[in-house]
Amino acid sequence: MKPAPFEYHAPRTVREALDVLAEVAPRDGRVLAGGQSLVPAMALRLARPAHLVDINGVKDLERLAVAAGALEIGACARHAAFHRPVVDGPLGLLLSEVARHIAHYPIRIRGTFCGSLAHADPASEWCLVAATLDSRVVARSVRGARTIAAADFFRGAMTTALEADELLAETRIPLPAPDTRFGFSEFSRRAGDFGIAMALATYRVHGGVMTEPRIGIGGVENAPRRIAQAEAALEGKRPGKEAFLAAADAVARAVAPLDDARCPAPYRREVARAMARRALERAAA
Amino acid sequence: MEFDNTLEVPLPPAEAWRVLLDIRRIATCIPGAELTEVVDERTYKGKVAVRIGPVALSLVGQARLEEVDAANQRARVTAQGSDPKGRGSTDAVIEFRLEPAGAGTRVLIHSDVKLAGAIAQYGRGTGMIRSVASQLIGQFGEALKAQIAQAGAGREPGPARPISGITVLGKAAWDSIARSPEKPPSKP
Repeated sequence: MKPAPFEYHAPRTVREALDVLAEVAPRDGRVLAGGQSLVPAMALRLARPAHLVDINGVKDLERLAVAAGALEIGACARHAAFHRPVVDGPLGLLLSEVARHIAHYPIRIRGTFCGSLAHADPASEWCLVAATLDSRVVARSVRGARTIAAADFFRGAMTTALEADELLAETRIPLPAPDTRFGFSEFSRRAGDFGIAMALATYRVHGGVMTEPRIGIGGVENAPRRIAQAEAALEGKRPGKEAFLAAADAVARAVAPLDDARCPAPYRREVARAMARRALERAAA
Repeated sequence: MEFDNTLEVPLPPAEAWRVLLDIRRIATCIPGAELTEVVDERTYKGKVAVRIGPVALSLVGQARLEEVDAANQRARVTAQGSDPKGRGSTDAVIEFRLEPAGAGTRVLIHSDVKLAGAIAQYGRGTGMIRSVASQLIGQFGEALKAQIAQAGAGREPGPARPISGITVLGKAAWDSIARSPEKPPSKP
């Protein structure tokens, strides 16, 4: 099917993009980045935006660089950019490990990191990374720029703190300490499908025990989040079966899973438990 | 699909009951809602804008207060709506029940929502639709709380969403609330 008619805008600079967005946002204007969620919804005529603001021609948004202790990911950086580590140390390796799980290769060539965050699908891998690593997103509009912590950004399934006239211009992921260990685990019935549950775990080991543990769960609830109870079960414990099982149990107890005909909540809870354990085991390996 | 939500209202149950049945007032607190016609005391026409990711729907239809049990503070509302672009329709039965919660009131909301058409397939099943419904109810609760707080403080209510057709009436209702916080306007 063809999409419903819309007006197409192709700004060349961030300033132009914000100006046109301010103008068309009240009339259902949308930002087009990789288009891997928006365009299929338009082709099905489920989404019928009146205006599209295509940011693919804005060179400044392709930025992917380290500054002030954080990896800065511009709005036009594609998933595929992370296939190989983009930064030395654990973060580059972590992003490259996670990127392989995102949909399929052709989608990764076009889809963008920031677009995933703005779309906020509950099963988005990048949203899980952003939430677990306490990333910050930079929202820009003609009214100015503001920085939003990931924990405040995701408001629910496909709902974010972003206003209609705001462009998610950049995401900043703090660089973890060089000795940070990480593990990621995701389960979906077919490769590339939306995950039923996924977990990202990171921690450091000092004097034989875990410090700064983080464990985030995605695909299970309306939005990904860190599970404080599971992190408490890891802090100061030796990395191993006992602590990992305790943390996985804490995850299973803490989550309020999405429930639908294909995947009932009790099943999703068990998958979340298994993913948490595997992510922790992979971090230890 | 059926789901339950709760809402806290900072008013005692008797007052909360009156406020919640004041449909003209309530409509201004529903995110994206617009009351277009008051057919009779129990039947209201309007539209609700719902957004699920890139999909922005406007459901046009009517809501009717089917049962109002003042003694037990329970009410049943039926609502039907359809998207003018043909993307789907909804048919909902919503039951409200009030119970005291400290100095305020807890509103227990049980919804049975049927979705039909293309929209029913978007969002991968009921989980996401439920999430959107919870968010709507959450936003509604915040808006209602803010309105009650503003009325209580005797201030002019904040900027309202366009409520075409009933703007003047809605404003009048707000003004009377602002004047006498202890005595919300009686049901029209």
